[in-house]
Amino acid sequence: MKSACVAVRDLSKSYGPATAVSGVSINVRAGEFLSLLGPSGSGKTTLLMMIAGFEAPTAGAIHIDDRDITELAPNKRNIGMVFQRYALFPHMSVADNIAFPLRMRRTPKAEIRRRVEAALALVQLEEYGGRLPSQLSGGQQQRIAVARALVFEPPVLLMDEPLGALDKTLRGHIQSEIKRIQQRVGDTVIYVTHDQEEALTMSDRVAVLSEGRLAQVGTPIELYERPQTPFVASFIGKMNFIAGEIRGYDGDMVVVELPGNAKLTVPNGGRTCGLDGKRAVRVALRPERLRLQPRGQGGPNAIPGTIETAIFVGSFHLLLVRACASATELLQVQLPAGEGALRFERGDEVDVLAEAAAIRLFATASA
Amino acid sequence: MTEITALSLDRPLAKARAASSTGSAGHRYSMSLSLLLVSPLLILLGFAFVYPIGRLISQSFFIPGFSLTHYARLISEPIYLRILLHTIEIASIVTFAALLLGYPVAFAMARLEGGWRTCIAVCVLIPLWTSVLVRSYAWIVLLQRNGIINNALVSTGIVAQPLRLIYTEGAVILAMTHVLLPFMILPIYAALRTIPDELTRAARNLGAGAWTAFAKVTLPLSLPGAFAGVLMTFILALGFYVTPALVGGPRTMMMATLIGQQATEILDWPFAGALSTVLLAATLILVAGFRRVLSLSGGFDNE
Amino acid sequence: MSSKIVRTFRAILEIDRFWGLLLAIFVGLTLFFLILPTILIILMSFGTSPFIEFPPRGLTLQWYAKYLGDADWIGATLFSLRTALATTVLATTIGTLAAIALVRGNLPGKSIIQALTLSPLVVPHVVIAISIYLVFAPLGLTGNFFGFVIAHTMLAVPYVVITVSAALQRFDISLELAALNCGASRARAFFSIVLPNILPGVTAGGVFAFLASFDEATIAFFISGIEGKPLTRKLFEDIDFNLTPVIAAVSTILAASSILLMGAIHFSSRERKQSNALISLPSTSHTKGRMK
Repeated sequence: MKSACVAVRDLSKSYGPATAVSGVSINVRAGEFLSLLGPSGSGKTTLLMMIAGFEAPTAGAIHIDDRDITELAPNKRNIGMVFQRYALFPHMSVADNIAFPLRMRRTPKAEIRRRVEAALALVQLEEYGGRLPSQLSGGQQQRIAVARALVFEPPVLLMDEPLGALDKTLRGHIQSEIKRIQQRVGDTVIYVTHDQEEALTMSDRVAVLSEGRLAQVGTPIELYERPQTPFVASFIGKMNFIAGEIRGYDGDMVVVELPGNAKLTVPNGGRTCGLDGKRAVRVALRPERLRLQPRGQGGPNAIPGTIETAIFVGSFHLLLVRACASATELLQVQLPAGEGALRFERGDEVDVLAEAAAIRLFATASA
Repeated sequence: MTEITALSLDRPLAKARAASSTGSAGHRYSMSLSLLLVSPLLILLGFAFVYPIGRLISQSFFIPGFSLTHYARLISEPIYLRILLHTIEIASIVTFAALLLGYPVAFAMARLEGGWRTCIAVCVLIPLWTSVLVRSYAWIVLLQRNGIINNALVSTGIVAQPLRLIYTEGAVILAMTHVLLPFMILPIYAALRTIPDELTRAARNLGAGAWTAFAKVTLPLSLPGAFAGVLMTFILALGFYVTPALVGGPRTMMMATLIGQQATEILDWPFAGALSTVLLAATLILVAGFRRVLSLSGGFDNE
Repeated sequence: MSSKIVRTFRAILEIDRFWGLLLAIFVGLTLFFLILPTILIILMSFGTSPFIEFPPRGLTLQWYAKYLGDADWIGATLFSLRTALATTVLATTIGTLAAIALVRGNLPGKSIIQALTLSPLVVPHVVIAISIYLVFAPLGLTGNFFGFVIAHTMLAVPYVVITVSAALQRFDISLELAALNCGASRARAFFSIVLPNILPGVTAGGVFAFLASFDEATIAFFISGIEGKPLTRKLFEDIDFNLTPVIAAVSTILAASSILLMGAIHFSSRERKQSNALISLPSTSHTKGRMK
């Protein structure tokens, strides 16, 4: 199947005074799996609806392979779409559902039959053609919806939080299904989700949206290791934030002082975002990049603290450490579970060691 | 009509029954208390409903002696058979007209939002809540010899003489359609509202134009509502008394007015009873048929 | 203005300009057809001409004054009001008790009782009317307050049972169980906990009962007498024999009272339920019953 690239340029959508999407520009490469990630209200579904043609943009343009489709009616866009609640026609059999887009395109009957069978085989539901959607389980309905969206070989596939209604195990299973199908069929996929784990697992790139704006676009690793705003930093994975002040620059290192006189030395260049000479910063620390040692053993980038809670989560230990001299800052520290019991307990006085390369700084005023 | 209300009663009561059968019977009232609570109702219905209708029906079979002469009259005297057929004919025309006019209104009401929908709802509900007497009277005012329509026609010179509009079959059909239209609109509206927006969008996304999407997706899924509306309207039209009595003339006699006439003017009670039984039987057959068709089709899970 | 309507239709119904316009016109005409007669009557009741005329040449309240000054009309109105109030009290009580038994009780042959309860809604009013006449006349119950109340209560009870049953079904039973757990007796739990929570359903049933009696025309026609003549019967007679705008005035009052009562129920239930269906089914079946 030939896939297409999708270019969204400066797309905006307002409903009266309320703005749902504001000036979003993204280039989706042909054959790429891109997720639109964000909390509810971030505009991701509205964006998808505009690409599909169900909402008219207030400003901006949408191009598929250099063709401007902004004004095109939804039934002429030739885009596949999987809806949140599958939208299978309840009064038609599974086979008729899948055949529907082919009938709309006046495909000859024999060809329809062949392609419907191929589509059912693709989602591994070959025997289910004669059934009604209501006779299928949620996961099966989901796969039929995918089959129907792909049977007419669209160059672009849109998916609107398709796994929201399924339970966790099923979700994981179908995630891999979708990925497998996409790799086999090779079309461009734009996938809307609010689940960052899902986005990171499935996508080539992720576009993070917040309050109608694009916060950052990048590969999962880029977003995780080099988030450009505190929002992205906290939305993807877990992140600790501590307030601090820049004390000075030492060569290509930045010295940050935390309350309680702890000092951190952070390599400059790429670790800092939007500082522009401001002094007050938020220090961002990933829980799994922190280490603990008993207080006073020394070491670079040590933050003194007391353990408040120790929780065993299965694959790791989660310790909540109250950083010294601070009433509010509670650091989450994630230590891998391994042989031997955890060396630390509630009440222990410890030093939290932060890996210099893993510390990021954000200016305090930025969102 | 009552089917819908009966069904709406069925489900909560069925749920309650199911709850008791799963063993949560601890909080159910005892049988003696329940019987006590329901007895006033049963006495009332027995005395004011079951007994009178029972007597009327039995009179049609038993006076004098057991015989079906009263029923035979219906077939043997052509005038009565004609009235029955005429009633069915008018009921059919009215139902068809109501469907034709009502479906688009229900469709618009289901698809529009906010202010527009309220506007339509007001136009549908106000007549519904106004008594039939008042509405039939309005039609008299409109259709009289020197009524509003005739006055308008004459004064603008379209016709020289006032037209004979009232006390005709056309008047009855017009007035009955007006009265019954909301009963067609509301079930169709309710059915349309159960269809998720996503289905039409999916059809459009898959390549269907607006008409095709409507014909292949919306229309089939709205059929149960349309069917309910058709049934309700038809059954009501069959038994209608007030409007044909006020707006119709002697040549447009219908079953209900015939029954009234036979009972209170001609005082032929057994015959009136026979006619009533026929009317009742027709109604019950339609209601039973509706239940059967609805359960056979299983309805559609529109989720 | 019209292009905005067309655009609205076009945008939302997603059909092209021609069909959108056509649909808008068609629906508009039908709605006009629906609402015209009611508006007509209201306007006529304020017109000056003693004959039926529209548009009215002047505005006056003389027909309302005439209505209020006519002993016959007032007598009929008072009779209707008394009957309707008595019916409301009786039907609401009987219906609520029956609903409790049906929803929360243990009854043999429940489905038969259910069907029986709803059957007055199925039978054409003319059949009910002449049957009642047949039985009531020898007992002296025609043209009589008590006869009317009995007949109307029978007609009204199904509505009460429907609305109260629905309210009972929505009621969260764990509240009652909590009351029992706290030591309340069944009766106490009912009056303190259940009843206050189903009161909207009971009230709605009461309104339907009132209107079922007040607006009822067919049975009133057949069992009226010299003494006992409700408003609807007098209207019926006057429409046949004495057609003046007073009838329009009375009709407007009747219509206004129905609309006010039904409107109040409709809007209060919509606030509570916020259901998708704009119309709650009881209001449909109720007015359907009044059709006959």
